[in-house]
Amino acid sequence: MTLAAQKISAEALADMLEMFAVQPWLQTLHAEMAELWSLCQSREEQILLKTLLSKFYILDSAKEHAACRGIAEKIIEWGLVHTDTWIVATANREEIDGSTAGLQKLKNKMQPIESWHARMISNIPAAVDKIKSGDNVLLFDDFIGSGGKMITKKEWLIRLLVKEGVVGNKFFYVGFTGMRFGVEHIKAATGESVFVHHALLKGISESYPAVEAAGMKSLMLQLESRLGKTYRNKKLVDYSLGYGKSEALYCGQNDNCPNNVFPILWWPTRGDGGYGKTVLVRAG
Amino acid sequence: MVMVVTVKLFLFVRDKMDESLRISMGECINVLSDKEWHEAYELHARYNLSALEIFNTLKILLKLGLLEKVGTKIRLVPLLTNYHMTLMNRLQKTKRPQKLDLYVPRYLTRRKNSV
Repeated sequence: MTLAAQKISAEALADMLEMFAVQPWLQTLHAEMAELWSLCQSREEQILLKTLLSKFYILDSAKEHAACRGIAEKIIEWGLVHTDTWIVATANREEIDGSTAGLQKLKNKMQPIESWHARMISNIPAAVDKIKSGDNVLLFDDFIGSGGKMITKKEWLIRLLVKEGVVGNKFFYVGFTGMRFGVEHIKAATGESVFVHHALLKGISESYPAVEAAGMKSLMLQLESRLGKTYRNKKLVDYSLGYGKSEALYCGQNDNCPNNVFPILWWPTRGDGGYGKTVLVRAG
Repeated sequence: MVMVVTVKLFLFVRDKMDESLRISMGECINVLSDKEWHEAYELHARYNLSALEIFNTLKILLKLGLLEKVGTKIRLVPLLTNYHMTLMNRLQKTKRPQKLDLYVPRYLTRRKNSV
């Protein structure tokens, strides 16, 4: 029994009872929720957090499985075959990354399994040795946020391939989940095909009328002002409303929180210089 | 059919619920035993029960048909049958905390403990 359960207000308790029913994954995070609620200085801020958390999208194993099947079907629809196609995770060589973990989930969903398995590569540098001129390349990430990472990684891969004399490759981009604006950004920047099985809207800007959204963003910025300005070498200002102003309300179950998520949910430092418990955890 | 499900749930709750939930359940039934409406917050304010403990307790009492809930107000169902009373008695039954199983008392007859 938690004899010393942090005292919370009646409204906060009512919010939590409501949230636990809507988002069961929060049940194990009641202490973190209590701390988040106590960071608020007005009821409006608490209501904002409740509203956003109610819409939060957790990629559980069922949704992940559906996404794998969706990607497999899309690859067939694009007419890609394993003989001249490579699926490359967007990881760097020595990085532990969501793209590599996601590829592991995808590898036994593609038919024929053994043939596709041999065509999956865990990071960009390793792909350079295998891709030949004219091959199709599917860049894969578990989550596509602003889309910037995909574009950067593609440009890096092309530079490495050109050095090896490999040219004329066709690129595709896939992810389990992604922000709709990020997907559009990749399409606009590259003119190539992009597919995410679950496309998400920005948590505030794309989900509410402009006037209401402006008020909500202002409240969120007030909340962010109570966070520490820096954490390790990172500046909060770069992650305000989520990296690239993504306003993401997404995390994979038992996974690392993307930096596109509102930092109020994962930024660990506080304005007073201390550290706080966070609802989501991000490493890196 | 409903009765079978309820009994199964009750057996699960009785045998599997952890100490924190058992204590929370006891305090909740204790508060509600006057059959009046109460704010769920009272459980937090009076007994320091966490939001999760209150949530789990209310969920089980609702499923067992022992509780009425309107917003954040709760009370026991007005017409308590013998069946309801049996359920409540069983749910309030205390159990020896498991952590005591790890405790081995020193013998009072040993010389260094003697008076």
